[in-house]
Amino acid sequence: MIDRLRRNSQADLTRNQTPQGARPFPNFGAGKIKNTKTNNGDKMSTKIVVGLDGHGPDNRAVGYASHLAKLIGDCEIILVYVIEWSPFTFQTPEENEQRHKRREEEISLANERVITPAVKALADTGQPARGIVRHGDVAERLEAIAQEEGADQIVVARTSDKSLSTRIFGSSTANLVMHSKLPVTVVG
Amino acid sequence: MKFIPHMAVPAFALSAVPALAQEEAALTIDQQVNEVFAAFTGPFVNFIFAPIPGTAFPWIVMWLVVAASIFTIYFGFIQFRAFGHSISLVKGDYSDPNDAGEVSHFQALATALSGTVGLGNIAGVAVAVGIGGPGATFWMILAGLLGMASKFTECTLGVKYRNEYPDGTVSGGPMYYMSKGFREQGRAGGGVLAVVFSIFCILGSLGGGNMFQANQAHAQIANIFGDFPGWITGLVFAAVVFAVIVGGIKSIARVTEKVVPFMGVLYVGAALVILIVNADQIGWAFSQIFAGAFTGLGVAGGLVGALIQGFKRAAFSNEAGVGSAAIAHSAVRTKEPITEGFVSLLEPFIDTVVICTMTALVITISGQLIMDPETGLFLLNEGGSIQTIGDTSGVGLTSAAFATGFSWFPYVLAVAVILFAFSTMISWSYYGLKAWTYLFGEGQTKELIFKLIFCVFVVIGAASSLGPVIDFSDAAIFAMAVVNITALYFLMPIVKRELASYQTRLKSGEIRKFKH
Repeated sequence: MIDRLRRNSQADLTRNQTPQGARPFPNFGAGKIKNTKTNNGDKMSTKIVVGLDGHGPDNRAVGYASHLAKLIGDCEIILVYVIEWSPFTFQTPEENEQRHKRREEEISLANERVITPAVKALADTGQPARGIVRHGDVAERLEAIAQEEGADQIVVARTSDKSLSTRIFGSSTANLVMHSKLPVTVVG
Repeated sequence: MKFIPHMAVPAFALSAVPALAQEEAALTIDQQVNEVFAAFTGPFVNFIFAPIPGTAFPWIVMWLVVAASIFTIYFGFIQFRAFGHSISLVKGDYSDPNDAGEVSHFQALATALSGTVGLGNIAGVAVAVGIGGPGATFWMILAGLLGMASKFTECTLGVKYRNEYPDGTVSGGPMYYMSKGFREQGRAGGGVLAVVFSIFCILGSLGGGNMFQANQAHAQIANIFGDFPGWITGLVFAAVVFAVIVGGIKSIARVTEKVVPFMGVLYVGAALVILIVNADQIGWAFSQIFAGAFTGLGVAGGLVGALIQGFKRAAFSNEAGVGSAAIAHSAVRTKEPITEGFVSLLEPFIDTVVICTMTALVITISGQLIMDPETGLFLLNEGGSIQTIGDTSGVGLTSAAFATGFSWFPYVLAVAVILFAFSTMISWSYYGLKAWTYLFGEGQTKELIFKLIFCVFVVIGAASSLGPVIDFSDAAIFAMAVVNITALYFLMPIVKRELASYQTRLKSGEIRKFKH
């Protein structure tokens, strides 16, 4: 059963997946993604949302998004870090009391360790970028933010998480690929 | 609530008697403490649990039920009107995804419920049905439904008047809405009420929320493994409680907070299976409940006897009006305090209307209560309780009733009682701490002193059978309700304004769903 789930997930992943070490598709979107215009005629930048999880593969996702952005031209990269959180867990009264403080600390830490360095690295190459940190279900929030921002696609790195829950319920990446209404690129 | 009122203590205290040798050694100390304590606290305990002149009805129960009725009428039967909206709030339909990461309505409800669902639902209902007959269930459900309005009132105020500190932590509860709410109304006396409430809250947390739990947990363990010194159980419990509240080992608390809901679901699931298997008897059981509610079916005191037991059990079980839930719910960081009121009104429904009723139905259907087949009236024993197969009462009666469906269930029940006792201690250590910091101020040393006292009382509670101490602790918890409801009467117009404003904005679409 689990094996079948894995196979299915892998099959879904391979739809948009770029093999590790391979060059990104040279023509991917270059001829198709065009800067759109708003109702009043102003040019609107293409936006790419990049989902980060604070691990090594993030660099590949950011690198690929940066490469795409250069091909597109006027393009903004939005780096998003979602802190996995469910409103349906059980907590002690003391944990509840300190939750707001902890939330602020988690956001601050995510900005400090993940978002800010990545934004700076892109800025150093001349690529416009900004970061967003949110709590919630990773796949759901990534897509919701991409929709809110009017992004054209989402780029994430392939995860190598082999935990039991991931095998049973699928990784955030697999869930995003399966449920997202926006194009998703999974960088291997 | 997970403690048994002082009237029911003797039945359980009997099963909690530690080994004889250990008891002999402890008797002298216990007796001395008992005598001194009883002399000081006896009048207070007798006053709190005194019957209304000419009846056997404790006035404190009447106080809680009358208050619940007044709040129900004053807010236009809010518990029924807002029930669906409350469910939507708990599901997160109105939660802004950008606020994710804060305490959710579900989490606040689950935390508060883990402090109320427990031994009271298991053993307390058996006490009520054992004395008042199945008819007590009807009055218990009625009192549970009325209590929803009390929770709504106190939890709304708990969030509205909580303290938010610069570091992002919060403190809330009746003591804060008493002092700040009264000041806002230009009324004197709020500070005094807050101090009195805090004192009762500390005493209640050390007693009913701690000693009694440890005592009952030891009783259950001793029932399985045989008698052994209570201080051993006390030390183990104290070490675990210490690890959580002083050592900050959250993993233990997290495990408990996950296991307790699981035990609750298992308990309700087992009850449901028994009811489904005996589906043909459910109609008969309800007819017994209705007939017993208005005739008593031969129980001591008849109709009034059933009514007293039902009201008492509901009031003691769901804590509506006591003020403890207001402390638990105040951690939610919502822009609308009234939403937490809506969510909290589900507590008495789950605790009393659902879980207590399940227990009562299983006991009724199990045939443990002995009835005269000719008259259709229950047979009473010398103590005035209904005769049961095996002469069981309290948790023993519940256990025997469930064993008719699942022979292994008594073991699950024993584990459940221990876990419920532990989670109640964790919850009440927090309630007591909030009252302590209100009186003595926030600070690590001050908090540590209370936590250490709390752990010491775990050992004392498990090791001894200090009846007067436990009686006083129970009385202190219900004394919280006297102070709290007094304040609620003065502050309920504020809740009404909040409710009117919220309803207007809900209708206009200003407050909208985020999930569809």
